[in-house]
Amino acid sequence: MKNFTQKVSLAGLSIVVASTMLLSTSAMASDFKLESIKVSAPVSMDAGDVAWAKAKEINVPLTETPYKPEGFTGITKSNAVLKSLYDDKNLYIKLQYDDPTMSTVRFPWVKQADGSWKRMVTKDSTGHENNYYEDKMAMFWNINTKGFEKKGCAIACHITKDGMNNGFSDNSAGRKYTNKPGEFIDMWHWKGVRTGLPFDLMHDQYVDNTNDPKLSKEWGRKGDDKVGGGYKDNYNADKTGPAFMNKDAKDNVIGSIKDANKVPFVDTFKVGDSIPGIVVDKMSGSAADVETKATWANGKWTMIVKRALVTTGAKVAEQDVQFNDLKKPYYFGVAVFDNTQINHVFHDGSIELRFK
Amino acid sequence: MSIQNLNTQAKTAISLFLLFVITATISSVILLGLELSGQKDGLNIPTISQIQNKYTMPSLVAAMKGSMYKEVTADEDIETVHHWIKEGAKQEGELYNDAWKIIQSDCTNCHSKTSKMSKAIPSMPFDTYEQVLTHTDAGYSWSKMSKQAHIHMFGISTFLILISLLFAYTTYKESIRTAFIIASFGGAFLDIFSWWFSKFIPELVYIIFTMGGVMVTSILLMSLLVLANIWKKQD
Repeated sequence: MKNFTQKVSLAGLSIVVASTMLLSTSAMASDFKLESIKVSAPVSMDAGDVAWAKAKEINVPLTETPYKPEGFTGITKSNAVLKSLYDDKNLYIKLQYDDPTMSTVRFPWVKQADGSWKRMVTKDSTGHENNYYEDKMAMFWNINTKGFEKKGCAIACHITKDGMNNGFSDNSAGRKYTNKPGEFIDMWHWKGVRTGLPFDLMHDQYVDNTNDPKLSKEWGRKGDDKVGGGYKDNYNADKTGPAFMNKDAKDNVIGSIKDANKVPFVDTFKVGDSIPGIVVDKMSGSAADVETKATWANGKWTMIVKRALVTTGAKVAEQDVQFNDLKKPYYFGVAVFDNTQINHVFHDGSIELRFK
Repeated sequence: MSIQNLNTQAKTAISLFLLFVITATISSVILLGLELSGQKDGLNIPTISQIQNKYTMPSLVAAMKGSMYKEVTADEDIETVHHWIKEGAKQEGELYNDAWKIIQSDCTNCHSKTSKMSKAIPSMPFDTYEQVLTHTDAGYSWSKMSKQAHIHMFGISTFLILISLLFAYTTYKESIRTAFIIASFGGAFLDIFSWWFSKFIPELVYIIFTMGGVMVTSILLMSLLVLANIWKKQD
């Protein structure tokens, strides 16, 4: 009996010591560091491309949210798994994150029992939707904003306090803008039903220091230069119903109406039927710099993101991060939106990308 | 009398208790390191300068250098805020404007009574000048000291007396037993005593560092030595 108890105690002590050492060792790995591995041939947009076997993956816990909307049922935590590759011309990122629901509606029209149409909107006290909305994902890339390396996306986050933001009356939960003139952040914004699923694109945007709503309704958040395309709410003239519908109802699956597929709305629908609330057209120009391929399965979104290492355009210096020095680190952040307009789930600090 | 004479059940209970103490002690060092360094993870042994920040600087500056460091945009911002406080923390002038802008930018997303961010601390708002002013005093106040001291002294002494009694009944040399018991209680007392007085005598941070180390080391060593001794076969 004595020997047995001795062994149990010794084992217990060993477990405590080993656990402590393990805790110290694993915890010492600090910020997130992603290596982009060079490949000789272009990588396809297929997440199953064998080239991804060469890339090392990192896990980035997404644990933070900017506010708590009333009755919010979306995710407030997730985990992003990231890999990266690059070739002579492009950077590729593979991102997979947990989201138990695939959400592909955005303010849809639904036929009511009395034959009228209702645009489904349940905005919260900040004026933003958390139910009838698309899934989104965003990457913030530092261009030249001081403090981004340390604080990540939070450097541009300015929470509204007591209905005021930078001295202006504001109902939103917060606004994005940089802290000084001349500071910019590149924003790659995957909008599920507007750019992602219909066109395999992210909306390439950027953030500057505009902190006055009179100068810009979206404050510091702006779209890159656009040659054509975009999206528009699907209203009729008096806003009592949709103006358009998909020529083939099967296309409703992406939650929007492609401009090329739209036909004038003719009401032959039954009660409860829905029509997408937005008409989308493929963007071109700098706003369409970032290609994606996204699939949802088994509670996870998997996305391949592709962008030229170096972009061109009149305003690239302020709108696009340029991967033109492969020896230096680049810092970015990731946020995901579970059918919510602005209540994103993000991580502390930034992710460092290095080209290997 | 020796702890070796106890029955197996008593020895088992004591061993498990000591394993808890060892784990808790290591956890407390990890927690202290995280709070003082501003790191989010890892075993960060506190440095003299980190201890100095915590016990001798205005709490706002100490936090910006320590637990809140990751939220501060740039190191020079800490100096700006510190300079404003050293100059009297007045609600006027360029110094105030600079410091206020930094506080608004780096602190109030969470430190606001209306913040709903994941890490919101509405109970410690920095929304007004008066609220910020309460965090500009250096070191421990009477209120904070009395609160921290009684919690720590009651807690530490309770498990320290148990470990000391167990250690007193080991078979080690009398001088070793006496030295460890005095070191553990003495270290704890001088450590906590110095928390408060270091704001008057900055050199006391060395006592905090040394005595904290003595206390932790003696607790860990006494626990391990008791474990080794209690199961040792009697001759």
